[in-house]
Amino acid sequence: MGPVIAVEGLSVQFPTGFRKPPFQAVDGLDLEVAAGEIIGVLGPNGSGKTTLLRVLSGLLRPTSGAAHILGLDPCDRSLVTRVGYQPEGQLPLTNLSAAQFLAYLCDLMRLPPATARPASQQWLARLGLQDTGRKAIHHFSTGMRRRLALAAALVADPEVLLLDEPTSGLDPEGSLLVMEILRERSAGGCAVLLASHHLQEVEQMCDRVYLLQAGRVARSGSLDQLLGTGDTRLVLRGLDASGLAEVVAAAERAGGEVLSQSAEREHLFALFRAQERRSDAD
Amino acid sequence: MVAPVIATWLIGVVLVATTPVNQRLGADRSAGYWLHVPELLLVVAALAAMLDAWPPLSRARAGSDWLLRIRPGPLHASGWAAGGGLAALGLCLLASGVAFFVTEKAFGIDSGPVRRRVAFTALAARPYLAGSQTELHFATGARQPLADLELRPVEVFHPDVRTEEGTAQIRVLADGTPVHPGWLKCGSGSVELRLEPPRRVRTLAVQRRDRTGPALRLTADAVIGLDGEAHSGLANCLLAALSYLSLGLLAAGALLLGQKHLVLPVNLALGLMAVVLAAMLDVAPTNAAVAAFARGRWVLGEGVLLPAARMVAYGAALAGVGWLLGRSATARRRGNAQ
Repeated sequence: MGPVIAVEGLSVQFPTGFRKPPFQAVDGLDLEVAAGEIIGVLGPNGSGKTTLLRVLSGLLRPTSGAAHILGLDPCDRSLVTRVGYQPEGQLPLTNLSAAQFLAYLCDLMRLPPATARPASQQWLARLGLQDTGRKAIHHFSTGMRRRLALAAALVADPEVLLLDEPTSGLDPEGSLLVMEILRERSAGGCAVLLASHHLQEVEQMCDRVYLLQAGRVARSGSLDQLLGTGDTRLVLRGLDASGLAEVVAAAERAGGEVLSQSAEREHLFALFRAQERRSDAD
Repeated sequence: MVAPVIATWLIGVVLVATTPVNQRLGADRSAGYWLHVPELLLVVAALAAMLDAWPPLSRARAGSDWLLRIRPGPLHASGWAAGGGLAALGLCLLASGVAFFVTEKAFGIDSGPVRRRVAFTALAARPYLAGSQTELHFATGARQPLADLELRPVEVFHPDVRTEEGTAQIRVLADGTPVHPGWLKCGSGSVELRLEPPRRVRTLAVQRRDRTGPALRLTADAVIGLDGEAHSGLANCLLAALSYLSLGLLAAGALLLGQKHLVLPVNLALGLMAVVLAAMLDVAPTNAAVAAFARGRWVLGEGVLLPAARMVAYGAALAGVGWLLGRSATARRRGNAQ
């Protein structure tokens, strides 16, 4: 089975003005995503992440090269429901409520109301927006807006997800929820391509990453390939100083080298979760 | 969207309501100018709301990618956009017409049945009843039967023109037949004459009895006929509103032209200023339409339709240019942002 997303030699130029050289946003980029994969696209601002997603969502035509999603041109009309796209930035029509916004998008996508309505309700509930009622989107917090944006990308049950900064503006709990949903979708065979600045989340979630620099792929591969050092990390518990010294001596006798030794600690996120659980219990 | 529009209109209504009655119904008992206030505010508010809430017209706004992806292309779904636009304009027109109707009823400026005006043109180069010129002739090409005639002469006091004591006396003949028995006393102001039975009139003759009162001048629109058919008051409200809508559309076009380069408050302020100036300079036929409406004339018979259509065309052209410029400006900006 071929890749769900296939990009070959993709280049995108933007005009910058009369008699000025065009801006090269993406330059000869190759990329492949298989069904069920979560792929992260990383890079500094202006490296071409959003342009890549806009080409794949059919919003931009490449200057040269080719891009295919599910074997079709990204501008193919049938992909509107088969590909879920969450653009960066704000939502439109912020005078609508969350349910009205989803209903409007479903209507534009010509989804049958019999499936669109339950799907909207399901995703609103899953993303914690079921109680927003008639509250207009412009009264939502940033996190609520991002969660609604994800619901809008998911409402048509797409086979491919293109997400631009999906966890931007979310609290740790919201980020965790988004990661959980993306893993579920991936397990169900959905291909996910996400652009993000949140390196830790990309590291936790993605099977492979593409690191972009000035519109080109600087590095790509699985996280093990990119980050693996060949060193082994050993975490010990219940040893005093003399016991620890013995372990270090044993390692050196066996030909190894102890590179670092420090007290282990939890991530800040675990502390945050524990505090939230405590608040819920109270 | 609806609430701010209604609130703005209510502000206009309150403005009119709190104005003393003698100011509202000035010396000539014409309340027409005060009708401008709520209508102006209503149309501006409705158009601002339309600009804010109608995505196809504002493709560069925040979040437009969501909609562009589903309805892409420069002309794709323009049918939908046009349909939405027409629906929005229809709503503005309806709201505007209802506002006229309510304002008219609320402030007692109901001027009776709505009737079409037929203008008579003076055949003389100088339409004076003075000195040896004791008779003036007027003609019309209108074919409908007339039920009433209305004369609005102006008394002329000039050192070169002989002035007699007392009030001028006149006689009106329609197609050579006297409309009334004897002579009528007539100064500055209006004279209304009933034609019994209503009939088609081609020519009118106005005679001044020699040596009576000051000279009279019958300027353009000083001699008119009114047809016998009563037209719908609500339809007249909608037609009067149409003139304002055309002005509003011109402003909407200007707003669209500026929306890529100006922040919304500045753009709206400039748009509002353009509307007020256009109304003051009589660029759009608002004054003629509102004046006719306030006098109970059928607005369609006032020649406002063509200027209104012209305003709509200008507005649509401006909107089209603004839309196209906006698209290319957006593409450039997005390109630079990458």
